[in-house]
Amino acid sequence: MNEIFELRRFWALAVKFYRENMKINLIFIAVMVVVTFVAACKGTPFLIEYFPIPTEEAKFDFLAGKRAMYGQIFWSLLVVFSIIVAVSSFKNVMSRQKVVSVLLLPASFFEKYLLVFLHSTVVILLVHLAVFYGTASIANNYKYVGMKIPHYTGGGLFGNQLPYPVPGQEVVHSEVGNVFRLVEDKISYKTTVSKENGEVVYSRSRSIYSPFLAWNLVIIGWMFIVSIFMWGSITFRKGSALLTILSHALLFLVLGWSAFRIFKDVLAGNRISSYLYDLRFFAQETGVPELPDLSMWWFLLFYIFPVTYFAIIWRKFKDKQV
Amino acid sequence: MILFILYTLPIIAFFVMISIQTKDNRKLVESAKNRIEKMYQQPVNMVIVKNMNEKISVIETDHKLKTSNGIEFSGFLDVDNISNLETSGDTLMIDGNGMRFRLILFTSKNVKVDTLNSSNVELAPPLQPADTVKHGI
Repeated sequence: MNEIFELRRFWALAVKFYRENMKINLIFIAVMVVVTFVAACKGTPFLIEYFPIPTEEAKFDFLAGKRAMYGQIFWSLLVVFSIIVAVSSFKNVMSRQKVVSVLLLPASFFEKYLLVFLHSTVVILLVHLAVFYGTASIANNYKYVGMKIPHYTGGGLFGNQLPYPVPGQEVVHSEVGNVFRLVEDKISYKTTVSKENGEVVYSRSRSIYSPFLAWNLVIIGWMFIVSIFMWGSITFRKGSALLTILSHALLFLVLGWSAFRIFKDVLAGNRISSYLYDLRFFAQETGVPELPDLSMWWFLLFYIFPVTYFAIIWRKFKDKQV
Repeated sequence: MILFILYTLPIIAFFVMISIQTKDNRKLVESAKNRIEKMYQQPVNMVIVKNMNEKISVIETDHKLKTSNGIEFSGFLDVDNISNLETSGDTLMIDGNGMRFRLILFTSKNVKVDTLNSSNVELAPPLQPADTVKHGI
């Protein structure tokens, strides 16, 4: 039997965890459904919104606009729900009444940590995905309606005309779209003809935000937020959400202020020039430092932030186990 | 503590980067200054201004010069453009290609000034002792 990880033992631990927390999890999912539905309806689920789409361009804009709106709702709510789950991820470990039973569970330390990690990341993502597409599809079926031939009537908030439905009217419903389609993989082509010999030069360039890079940046940001609140969960016994926000706000404030002061001093001394009689030599006209032209791929180094948090959480959790 | 280090390290890295750049720029400025200083030690009888799109004023004067070789610059010079000023024998060549500056060139009476493919060279009348000069006229 493997002492670090065994699938059957891990599965038994997960089943026990979800069985014991079934009630609270179901309540949370119900809250997710309501919040997501209200958000997908922009707070007015009982009001149908009509949009004039007389041309193909207007139809395209209508569909693209709604897809973008659903994407924003999905990612915003994922952050909110992830924070709620992350901030309560080590609730049992921090509870004086439950800590002993949690630590004495017949599972390895790695399995317990992995379960908390997966619950705060993968599980919440999958649940949110199911909840979002379920509720957004319902909202989408009636809430936003595009009309080919618009008819207008008064009654707008500012005395403006509003489109209204006419029987037999051809309508188009909005689309939820693929919320994971963060950026288009834009490839541009350039053809130049040489003046001298008429030679055609053909070049291809790709957008700096490749889907892979965009995906990584989103994962880094999301994991960073989750890791911060998981750290808060294992650090503060009570009021962990508030204390996590306050402690980080204080940390960022102190570091930001220090960085600003140093940066100001560096900028003041950075204007490099020297005189020879009346001729002034300068290397940086503005004094603002020119940062090296770094590749966007360097942003992947930011993985160090969530990874460090997860390492600290691991250490804190292990200390409790000991 | 680890978190403090985690957040402090990128800031330190940023400042180190700026400091290195500042040091490099300081070297560039000093090297440009030395080069012009050496140029001032060589006698110049001929100035050729070529490919000049920027405005440059050439003013004939004797009393204004602090140098002994017959030329003196006034104004602003980006160190990246230092190679645009080249002396060969007793000739100073000012190449306007890719230059970013605001310059006035003071020359003594015996220095001949010639232009080549340069529309913006302003040959000002000889300067009188009471005249004042502003940069970039």
